[in-house]
Amino acid sequence: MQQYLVRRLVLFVPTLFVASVAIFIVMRLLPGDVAQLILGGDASSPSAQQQIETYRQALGLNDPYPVQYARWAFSMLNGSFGGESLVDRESLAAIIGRRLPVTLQLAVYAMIISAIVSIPLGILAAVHQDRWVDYLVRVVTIAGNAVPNFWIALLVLLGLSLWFVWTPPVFYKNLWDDPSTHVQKVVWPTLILAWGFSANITRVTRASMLEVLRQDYVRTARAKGLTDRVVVARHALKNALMPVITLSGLQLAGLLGGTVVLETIFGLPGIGQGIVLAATTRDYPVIQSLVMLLVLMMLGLNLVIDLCYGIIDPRLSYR
Amino acid sequence: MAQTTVPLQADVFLPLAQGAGIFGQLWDFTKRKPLGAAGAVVLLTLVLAAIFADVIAPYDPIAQNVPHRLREPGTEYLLGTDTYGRDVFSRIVFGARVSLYIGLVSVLIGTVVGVLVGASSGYTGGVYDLLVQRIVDGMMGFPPLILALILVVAMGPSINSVAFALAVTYIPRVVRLARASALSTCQEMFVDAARAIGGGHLRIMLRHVVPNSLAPVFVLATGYLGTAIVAEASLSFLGLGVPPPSPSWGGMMQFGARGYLEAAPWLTFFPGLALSGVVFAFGLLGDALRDVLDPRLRGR
Repeated sequence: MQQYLVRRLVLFVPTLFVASVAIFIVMRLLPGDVAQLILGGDASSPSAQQQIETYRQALGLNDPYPVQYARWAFSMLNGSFGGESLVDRESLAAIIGRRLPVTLQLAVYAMIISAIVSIPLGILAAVHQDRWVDYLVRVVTIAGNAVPNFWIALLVLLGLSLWFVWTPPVFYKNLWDDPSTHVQKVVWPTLILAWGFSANITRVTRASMLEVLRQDYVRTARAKGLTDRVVVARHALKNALMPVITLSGLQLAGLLGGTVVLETIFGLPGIGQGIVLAATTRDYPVIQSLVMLLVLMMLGLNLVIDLCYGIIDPRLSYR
Repeated sequence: MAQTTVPLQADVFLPLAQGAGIFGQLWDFTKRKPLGAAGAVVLLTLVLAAIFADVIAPYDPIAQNVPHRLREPGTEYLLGTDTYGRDVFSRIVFGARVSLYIGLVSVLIGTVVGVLVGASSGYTGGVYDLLVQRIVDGMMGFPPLILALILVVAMGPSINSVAFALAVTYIPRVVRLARASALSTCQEMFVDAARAIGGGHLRIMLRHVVPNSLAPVFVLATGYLGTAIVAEASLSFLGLGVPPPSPSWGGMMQFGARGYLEAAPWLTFFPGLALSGVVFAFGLLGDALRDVLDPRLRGR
């Protein structure tokens, strides 16, 4: 176990390095001169040229790329997360402190709701395989998978405003600041995310349960006279949960980057919306650091999922 | 599953009615997988709409006709008009072309590059393999939509940069799959046989390893075609995809959602409906193809 952990952590380093270099290179490909973009105006006059040159110097854009990369990578580690926004000079630490909780809250809510809904639904569908409950569950989950969530979001907004004359509050508030506004603001995006999310979890729970229910030990459990409830809950479910947990973890990781469009539609100031905003203003330090943050979280999550296997399934030995 | 050792040989490609001709096989597929066939019909419609867009669409998708702006869906304009008086139906039909183009180009580039890199990495092993795997891990660390987004921003929004960005996000997934297939194919007797009769590395890779890893890659590609179309719509919806006035379903939805959601709901509703229908069809067809083509993936 420890050996495995060490090996995973050692592989983590080159993976992070590749990802960060990729982001760094892509950001250097941005069209146009950043300094000129920020200063704006006519760049042809000598005084403007000089101003741009001083600004480039100040931003460190004239340094060789490896130096720039090292400076950025180091700042990611020491807590300043790559300096500040080029647009309004807000520090990236502040931007992340403001935006990260929004995305995390959204992802965690969606995760909790879909776990509560989809695991029982998956079990129900598996236990009543090929009966109407099963068909209903399958149709709803296929739809949840197929229909793009931003279309649903727009339909929900439309329906709410046409029939209930209700629109979400304009500004986002954290749960701990203003619970009522917070709930009104996040309830719909959470439910929409949870639908897409639970579609997959339900499907996998069902498939995994179906496989486990055919195992010998389940037949043995039934044969010794245990009730259906005990067989399903104690014997089958525990063994069926493994792929469900893998998938949930992967989906949570997907959610971190997948909330972009919903955040934009519902005006939630999360990481995704931050990246989109920064992308439209070419605010490259912000894009660079926020994307890196997502990558860090995704890779970290994957690591945690792998390690969780050992706790759930002691049979697995980590080679 | 106990079936993990099923060798992926050429007969896996044709598990349907053998020797019945292409139509016989299609009919067999329809009978065995009616939902998959329904998906195929929807996708065929999409392809036809994309090819014959000029014939089907009653109006020019780009030319403005401001006096006719914001007409409700009706007999003159089947699905209404937008704020510039452009026919929504015509734009959806031409939008099929954009969606399909981006989907096909990204899947094609992604598959070709991914299979070549993956198969060679699995076949060669060693430092090259290690290097490729680290790069793939690094790229898989990105949320896919975010990676596509920053690539499009870096290249400047256009149809081709969206297609390229989506290809790049797809490549690592193909590489992994193709590499895994290549590793198992290399254990097969026929690879040893090919080497024994003096086949070079390149020949063995292209003639034996690559073709035998194609079935799962093909299934993945069908699924990704749908994903790529949604991703394109998402990017265009965010204003970071296909630039206006090109008719893109996502772009049309963004246009409708900005201030006309209640006043002209048809601007958002119909492009979204087209998109959902297509993705749904890809899902159905993908499931059916997976069952038929790749017994190893069944039940996942």
